[in-house]
Amino acid sequence: MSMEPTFDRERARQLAEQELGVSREYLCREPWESYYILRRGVLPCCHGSKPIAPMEEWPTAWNSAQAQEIRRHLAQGRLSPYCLESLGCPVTQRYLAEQQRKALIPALSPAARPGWMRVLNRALGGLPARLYRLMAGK
Amino acid sequence: MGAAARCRVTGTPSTGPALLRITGGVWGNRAEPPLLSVAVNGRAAGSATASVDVGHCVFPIQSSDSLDIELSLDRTFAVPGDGRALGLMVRGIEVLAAGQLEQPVDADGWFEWEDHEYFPFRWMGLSARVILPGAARARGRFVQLPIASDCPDGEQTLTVASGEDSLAALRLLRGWHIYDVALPAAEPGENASPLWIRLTLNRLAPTEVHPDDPRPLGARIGPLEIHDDRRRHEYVLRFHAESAGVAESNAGGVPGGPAERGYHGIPAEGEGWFSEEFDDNGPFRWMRREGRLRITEEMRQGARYCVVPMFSSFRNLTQEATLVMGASRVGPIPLLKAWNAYSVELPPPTGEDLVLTLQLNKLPPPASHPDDARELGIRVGDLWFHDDPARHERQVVMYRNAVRNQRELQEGATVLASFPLLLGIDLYGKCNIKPACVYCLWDPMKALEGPHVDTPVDDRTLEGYGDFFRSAKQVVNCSFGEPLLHPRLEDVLAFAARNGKVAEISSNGQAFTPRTVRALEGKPIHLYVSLDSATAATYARLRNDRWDEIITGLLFLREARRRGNGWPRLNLVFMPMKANRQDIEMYFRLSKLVDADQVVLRPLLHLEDPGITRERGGYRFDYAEELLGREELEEIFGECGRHARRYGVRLISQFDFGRIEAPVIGEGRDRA
Repeated sequence: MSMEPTFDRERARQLAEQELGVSREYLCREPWESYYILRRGVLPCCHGSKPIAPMEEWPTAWNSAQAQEIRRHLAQGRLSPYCLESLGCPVTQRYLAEQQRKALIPALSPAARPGWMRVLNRALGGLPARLYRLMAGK
Repeated sequence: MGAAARCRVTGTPSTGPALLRITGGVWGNRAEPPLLSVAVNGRAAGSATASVDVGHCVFPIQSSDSLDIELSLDRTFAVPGDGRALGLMVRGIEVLAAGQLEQPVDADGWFEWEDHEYFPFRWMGLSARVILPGAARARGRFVQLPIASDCPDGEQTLTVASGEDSLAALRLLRGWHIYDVALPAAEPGENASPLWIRLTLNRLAPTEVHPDDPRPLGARIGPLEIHDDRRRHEYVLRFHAESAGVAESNAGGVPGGPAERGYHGIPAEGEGWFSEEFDDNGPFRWMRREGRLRITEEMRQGARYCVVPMFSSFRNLTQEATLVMGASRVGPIPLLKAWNAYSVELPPPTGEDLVLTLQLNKLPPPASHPDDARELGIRVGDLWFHDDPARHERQVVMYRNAVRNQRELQEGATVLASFPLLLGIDLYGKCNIKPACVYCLWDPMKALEGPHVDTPVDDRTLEGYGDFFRSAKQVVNCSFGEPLLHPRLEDVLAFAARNGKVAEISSNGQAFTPRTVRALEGKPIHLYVSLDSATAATYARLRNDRWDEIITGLLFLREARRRGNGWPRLNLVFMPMKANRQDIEMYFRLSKLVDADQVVLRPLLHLEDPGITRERGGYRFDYAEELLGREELEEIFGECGRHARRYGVRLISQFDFGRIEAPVIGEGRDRA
């Protein structure tokens, strides 16, 4: 059994993922790697809610303004408006759920916490604060 | 009981014709089971040889309010340590009113029912009888039998007879299959008499199949079903005729395989390799930083090119391989993530062995595989050889495009000079399920397709996509329609395979015919079959009453996949909903039955205010209510995980689509 401290193992894992190229992955790679020429239109991915061009425009839709916009957002670590409207996409679903979770956290941050919460926290041995830090990923 | 016993049965369901069924068997002297004679109310009902282990003896009688039953045996047994003279272990005595029977009744020759596979079944010995009640006969001209033989295809035959009349002689195939037999015409109306059917095998199952079970086991037979669907009957017969034809054409030859014949293997030598393992791509070996492959003339057969499948754990092109063949050197070439096939031009043959050395510039960091201390470089799969310059050129084009595409992605380029690695296509816009599946967005999608709803898309269309098709490694069909109905299916699939593409096709599972199964056999295709049910009742809620065809088709597809070296890969798709929640465990049993490569969990498309409600199969399907919440889904995931382990079926979840996981190094399994 390794006696290495947990944070060292975790740090080693993060460095390994960096080296393998995992940590630099975008939220989604589909708009670079995939292209769907379908009867209902051209789609940048399999979960796109609506076509970015009609079927017959497949030669040019690959680098259309909308395709570029989708890629630009993802390259910046965000989902584009097109992606955010594609609610059938599991990536979008996870992204929105995470955004909701993050919106909840500030309401419970130390600066925002009312006095009675601090008293309750002390009465419960600091457990609520520890839970908050766990949720906030700290 | 001993040599003789008596009992009284009262409160029988009715008077009149009935069947007296004694369930039991002998324990001890299996070689010579005794003769059981039965008398009811003083009148002889008949005699039958008792069953070895537990089985039935059935006697037609006249029932009344009170039955005095006398059982007698022609001999008993002595068991060491027990001073009694033992005869039959009687498990039960039943009086079945002939006029009230709805389902087939097992008579003699059967063992006990077992229920741990997809089909509940009981073994039969060499011969067994079953009674088809009059009421059941009146509703159907055919009987369907699921049968599992443990003998090689065709070595076991089952004759089905009624009295002196032979109804069918079935050539049994190894494993579970569906068989269908036409019955003699029944008297019209409610007065049809029961039909006694005898099933006789030409041989028992090999004893190696059940080394710890001394019973004389013949074949496993599932529940018999009487039906009146000629189309269903003929569907089954067509597949069996096709199977017999395939057997004839293969007789004396080497079974067919994938498109590539010739050598397939990893001719590793020296210290640079670990032992063979197995993953979804097939067999492979992990290589250290350097490894040698010895290619003999016999392997190569003078071929000009060698295809080397390699798996890299790096997603950023930083791992490179150099291939050294004597004085010739290729690379260093950046390795693409995951599995890719690299076509290499070999030096001209010299009559001597060729040693191909693979050298890597770097290894995955040990922290990326903390549970595996080996020095792991890349995985190398089965090499194979070809002599086609055009094919080699196509592989090079796909490789160069993939490298360019990855570089552009890493740079965050928005205007791409590269082409997609995966091309989505739309082969066929018609479907054989009418009305559409309850969750299908058929009408809105067909409206969206507008003028293109009937646009033909085939191999010529794919060729017309130019670099988009040439550069892609994978083509994925995303039709709102059933692609197996495509009139040029064989040409399209052959074209994609010839051009080095791996195809992904989704099917509703209701279009398997000998023609479509032949078109799929041995091709590099990942077939996703969406059933979303494991039983006829649930299938009827979501689609229609043709569940029986699904099983028949998938079982023949199983045979085709075996001939095709495991291709196409079969993925059974399940979208968890309220309507099918209860079918989950059976779905895993079904997957095991048809030898699916994996079960795929897929989310039901999330729709805001879908407004879709349909009545089907006695069920009210309300789309909004069928969408399960996260908590229930987590429960289902856990349940699926348990079933996957229990039944040895691989499970993947498309709920995780887009989630980037660190490559799992060391996940190879030992070769089965």
